[in-house]
Amino acid sequence: MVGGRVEKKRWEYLPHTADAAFNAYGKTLEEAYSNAALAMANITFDTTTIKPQQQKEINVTGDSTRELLIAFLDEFVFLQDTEGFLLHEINILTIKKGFPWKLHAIVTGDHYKNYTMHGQLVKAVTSHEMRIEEKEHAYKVHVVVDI
Amino acid sequence: MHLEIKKIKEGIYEVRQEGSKHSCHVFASEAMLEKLKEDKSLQQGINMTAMPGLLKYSVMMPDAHQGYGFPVGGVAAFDTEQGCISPGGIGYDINCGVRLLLSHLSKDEVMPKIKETVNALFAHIHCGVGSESWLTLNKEELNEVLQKGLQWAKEKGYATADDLDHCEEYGRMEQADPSMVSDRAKARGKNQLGTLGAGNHFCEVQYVDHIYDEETAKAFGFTGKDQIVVMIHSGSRGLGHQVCTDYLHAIEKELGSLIEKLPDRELAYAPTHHPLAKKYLKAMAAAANYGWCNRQLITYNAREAFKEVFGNTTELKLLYDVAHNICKIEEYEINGEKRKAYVHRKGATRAFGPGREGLIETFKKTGQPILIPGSMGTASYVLVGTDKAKEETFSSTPHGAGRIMSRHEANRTFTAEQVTKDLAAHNIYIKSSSWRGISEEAPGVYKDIDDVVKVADEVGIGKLVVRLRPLGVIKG
Repeated sequence: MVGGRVEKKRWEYLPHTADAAFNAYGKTLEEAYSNAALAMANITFDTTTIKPQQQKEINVTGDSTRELLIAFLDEFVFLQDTEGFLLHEINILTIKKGFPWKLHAIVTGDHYKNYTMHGQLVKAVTSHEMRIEEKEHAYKVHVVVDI
Repeated sequence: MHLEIKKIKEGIYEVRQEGSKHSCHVFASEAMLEKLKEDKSLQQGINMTAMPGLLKYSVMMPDAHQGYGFPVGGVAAFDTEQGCISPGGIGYDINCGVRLLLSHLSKDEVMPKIKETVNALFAHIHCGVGSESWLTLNKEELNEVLQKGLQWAKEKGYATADDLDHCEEYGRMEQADPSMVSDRAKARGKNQLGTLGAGNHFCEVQYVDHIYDEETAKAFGFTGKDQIVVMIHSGSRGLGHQVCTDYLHAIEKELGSLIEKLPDRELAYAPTHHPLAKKYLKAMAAAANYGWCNRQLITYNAREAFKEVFGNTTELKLLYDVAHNICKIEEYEINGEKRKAYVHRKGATRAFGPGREGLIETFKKTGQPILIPGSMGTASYVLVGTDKAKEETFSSTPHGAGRIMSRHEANRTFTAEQVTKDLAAHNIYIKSSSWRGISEEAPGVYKDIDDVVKVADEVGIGKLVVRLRPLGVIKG
């Protein structure tokens, strides 16, 4: 788990007529991004029930924190579609500021065949109303995904 | 921002933002308009008018609801010279669409075997999360699908010549260029051809419940009340979504300064003469071809399932296949002048009236069939295209019921068990790969489809031909 012990809620889902929206929180940008990935994964499956059978390494870049977040989340949509990979947990996540911004992550999960979907399939990550906010060392990201 | 709303005539409202050059025409009943006022739907309708080269006005269909960028149920036509191409104005699921297959079976023959039929469809058609196709394509084969569309399916024996005739664009957009589709999109599409997917996609066994227009119904191939038909609703799966994601990203990178000025980043566009606009259109056409092949392979499976249950001579004849997330070049007369336009339809069905090019002789006489699916458990409709739609909506009609309740709220309001029971009480048998898929798509989360088609029919942008009711559903 990135960021140590959880004291506050890590994410919350928000009402959206046609699609799914959520806020994810963290004390660092890294923690907020990790929680965003978990929030997205939990739309489709309960990540706590997914076993850490496989490990994946993720490397993405983006010209801004927003583009970096889209690229990072898009990677999970891609892994699910192409390799049937379902997320369990984010083990390591580092972000390097720069041009472009760089994100490296090591995540665990399992193949979908062993699980039943409890929600909707996420088909794409949108940039609609995407916000990444920092206030007194607390990060909040707002994401809308296409389902 | 303050929006002025003026009633033009029954079913049509003009919505305008102060100081803006163009307005948005909203096709809705009074009650529907009130509902649209509750969220950002109308503002999204207005957002379309701020884009370059808009012709006449933007349009919101009777089933319109809040999306991002364009509203779902939004139509905008942009000048081919001064206009733009907006991937978000077409939608993530490129060539999401509907087709209808006509059988010679009657309700009385199918009712006693409905469970068996639905189970056979469920066994033959792959659906749900991570569903993999029974067909694995190598790189060259996938490129052929993208290039040739239904022509590929015909060569491989999955489609007949008759199927191609009864499909929008004959199942192939010529400008498709597989090299404009990223490896990432192809990797997502490689194992998904012929899979239904999840969400609101479905395959439904229905019967003809009411005929409004005997002559047109007959010309379309309907034999009478209680005839069994099969409706398929699916799109271009992960491949289409990735094409949209890729091009939105590319536009943001290259044309960032244009995007900054927009009220919503999902409105991102490229001017029509920009290389990205041209590239996107070629990639979109390739994804559209994939979408048609996807629905064709599902059709192939449905035909197998029906043969299994009702015998080898059972036929399911394609009535028509329509795309409701797509961009087309079409010509319209505006102020006495012929103008070519890139018509963006995001959750809207093309509705060509009699005489239009691109239709086979039968439909040139009648106008094209328009397929409007209802929500799970409710009626679906077949309408016919009119000349009126050419004047009012750039030849577009609604595409479905239109959501009014979030999935979040749906899960709190409905349980899958109760929905399944309610459907069973109406003699509708459902099979889904996800329980939640059922509660989130409960009929109560959508606008009333009957109201949606009523507005279309009364305004005249599509005339009612038949009403269909479901007997069995399979869902992702």
